[in-house]
Amino acid sequence: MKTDHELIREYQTGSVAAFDELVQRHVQMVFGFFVKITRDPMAAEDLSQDLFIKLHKHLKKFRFEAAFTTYLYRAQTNTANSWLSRNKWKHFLHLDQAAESGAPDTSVEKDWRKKELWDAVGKLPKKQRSVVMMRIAQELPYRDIADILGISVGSAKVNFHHALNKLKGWING
Amino acid sequence: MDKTFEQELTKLNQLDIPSIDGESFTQNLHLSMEKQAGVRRQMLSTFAASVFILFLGIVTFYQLDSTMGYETYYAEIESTYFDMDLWENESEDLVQESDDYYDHLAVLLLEEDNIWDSIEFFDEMNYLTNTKEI
Repeated sequence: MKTDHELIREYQTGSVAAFDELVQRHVQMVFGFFVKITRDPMAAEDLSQDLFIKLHKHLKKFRFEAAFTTYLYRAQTNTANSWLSRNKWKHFLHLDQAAESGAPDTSVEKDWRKKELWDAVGKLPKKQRSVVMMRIAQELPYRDIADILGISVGSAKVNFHHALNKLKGWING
Repeated sequence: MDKTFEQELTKLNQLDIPSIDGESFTQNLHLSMEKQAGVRRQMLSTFAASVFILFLGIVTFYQLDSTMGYETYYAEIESTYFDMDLWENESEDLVQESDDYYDHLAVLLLEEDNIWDSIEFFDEMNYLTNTKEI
């Protein structure tokens, strides 16, 4: 089985099949990440498509300095960041949608809590938002998050801690 | 405390992710890319056509400028605009009509007993007749 870098090299010499193989290898992970954030498979597919179209253009200049997955995580985090910023004002909840306190843990309430979570994440500053997305939606370790965002591990932890405090305040009232 | 909240959020966000068909996704991806490339090509050709039309328009404007200048146009208008040769085009009928007009006017002035106006009028008539004879 060819590595990601080998496939990219082939793509850079003009092989469309190599790019297709790269897409098929990573599409499930990318799609899953976007589903967690958008809660909508259709929107997630659109975002995945946008991401791979951008990759198709930019992979020709890929410099093999880091793993392809690092590059991919960064790209999908940026795409999700833009989506959350675009949709931040579209997700105001109607009062009748809010779950009552003390209600049983139904799937409706769980959906509502998820929606509330990602609406709140959308309001965070960009760096904190990126760290939260990678930590919660992808469950990446701090070391990887730091590599992807080009920051130190300490900075990743601090950003995540600040973000959690804000989210706790917003979600728990 | 943070750890618990983080676990809570992670647990909350655990979903059954639907699987996606890689092959059909790739096909759709290529279709979208072709569509986007088509749109880009169309926009480029529209832009190129606009630039060409603009260029052609500017060139045509400057080409026509030398033959359709304002001076020529003004000169042509000027030559007809100030022509007031009404008498040159006078026909026999018009002369007859104007003679009748002066007769009627003379009668009217005499009837009104306005002697000074009448004299002035006759003098004028005399002047006109003499001028015509000369």
